[in-house]
Amino acid sequence: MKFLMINIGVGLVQALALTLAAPLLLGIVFRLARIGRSGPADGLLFLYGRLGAARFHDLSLGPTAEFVCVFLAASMLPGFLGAKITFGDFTLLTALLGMAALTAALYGEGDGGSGVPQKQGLFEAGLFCAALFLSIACRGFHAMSTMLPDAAFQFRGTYLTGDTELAVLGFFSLLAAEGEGALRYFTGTRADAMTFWGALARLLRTVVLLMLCAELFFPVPLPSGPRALVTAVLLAVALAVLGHFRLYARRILLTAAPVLLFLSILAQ
Amino acid sequence: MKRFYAAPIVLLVGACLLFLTGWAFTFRGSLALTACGLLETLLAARFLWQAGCRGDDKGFSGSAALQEAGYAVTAAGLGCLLLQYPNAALPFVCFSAAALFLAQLVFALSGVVIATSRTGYRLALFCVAGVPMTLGFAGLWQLCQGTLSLPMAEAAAWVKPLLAVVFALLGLTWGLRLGACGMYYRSVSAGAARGESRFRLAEALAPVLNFVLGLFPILLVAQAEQVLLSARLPFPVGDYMGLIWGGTGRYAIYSPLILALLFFVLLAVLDAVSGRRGAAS
Repeated sequence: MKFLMINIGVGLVQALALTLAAPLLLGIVFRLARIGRSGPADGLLFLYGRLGAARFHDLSLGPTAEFVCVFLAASMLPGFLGAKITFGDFTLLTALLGMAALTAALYGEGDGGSGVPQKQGLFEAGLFCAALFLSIACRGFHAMSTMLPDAAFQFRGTYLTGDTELAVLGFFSLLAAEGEGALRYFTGTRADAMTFWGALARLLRTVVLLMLCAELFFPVPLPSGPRALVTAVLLAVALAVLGHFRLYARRILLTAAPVLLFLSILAQ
Repeated sequence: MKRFYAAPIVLLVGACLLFLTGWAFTFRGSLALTACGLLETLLAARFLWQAGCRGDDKGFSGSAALQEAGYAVTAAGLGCLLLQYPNAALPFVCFSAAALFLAQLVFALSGVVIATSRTGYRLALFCVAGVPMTLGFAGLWQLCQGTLSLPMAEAAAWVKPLLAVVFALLGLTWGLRLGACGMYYRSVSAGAARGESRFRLAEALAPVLNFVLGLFPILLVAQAEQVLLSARLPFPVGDYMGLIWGGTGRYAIYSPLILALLFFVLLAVLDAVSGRRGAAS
């Protein structure tokens, strides 16, 4: 019991640290992504400003519940301060991320300020969950077991093989779709209407996927922190390229993610 | 019954026939049963989404029930498939998943409750969606574990595509189910806001009852496990509680029960706070 409480405490501290650092980390990403585009660029700390300007006093239930779900998912992340997660924990993490969208829809405005209609956002939840479930399968299949404490390490040992590259690309597509959505959310025309907890949930969800991608699907032999930073830079480059070509990339990337992850399992 | 429900119902009947004739316990039969379940789940998820967008009460309940049945058939099919191999502990995971989905079908998806309730059905929708701590999530968790156990039993090449297809469809259908619940709530609440809504005690209590019945009965399962372990059965029972709430690894750092309890307590507090604010304003 004592061990469990210590681990829960460490996980919550990790989630708090990620919440505090999320605006800075994504500020860097969005600043880099704006390179080469016309118009004035935002500063590195502009997301703190956006959060400060958001409607904090309006404690609406939907965005707050959404934030709670994402915060719990952040406390379960592998690497960083948290321990290595198992297959069962990973399923729960996926479910919590999916549940965030449901609570937002049931209890309030949710993604109302993102510019993405609610129906479209809820429909995309299917592709999002499919990609996350397939990433579980990728991870488990590499370990050939439901006991997965060392699967991340094994995954790192198999990079530069076709199936691993496909898996990395697949999860990175999911991350890029999430980053594209967050960028639109914070720089779109309806950004003024966002609520504080909803905006924070959006930021944290992107950072959770970024950390997950770095920990599980970015096979570079580095510690967690530098690996996450390298992944963040790659995300910035991807967003810059997508913005440069003016592609409506979110749905394309969301479709590509499960397809690539599916192919990666077949390629094993 | 609408015509488009014919396909999933035919698949369900086909799955029952496979069981009744005993063909489900052969290798090809179990594969056919799994395929039936997956296809039915996919079709039902599509209808569920459509019914959710329209706010069609009966269509929503029927499609959700058919989807649960599809999950149960998939789990039973995988269990029968794993019976072909010597490791006796693996089918237990799949069959327990099928039992959980059937329990979800009976308790949490009493379609009448959702169809007649106009107030407070958000709570019931949580159960229908299969969020953590409910029967649906426990079943999904077990089904994923059973699917992932398949390569441990069989190393043939066909396992990989099957595993990929099962996981892709599980994720897609579960995500669509979440989305459909959200869409259904929005459609129905928009309709209720326009029409006259009268408070009736039964309508308020029904979702609460639905929610309570849809929760995973952890205390009951713990007692049942104790009984089974002390009965010294000829087949392995395993650490079922550990399997469900601790994940499958030795390094399970969180109990999902604690997390889910925390979530629901926070939700209740926030609900109370926001209700008071709304009343004050």
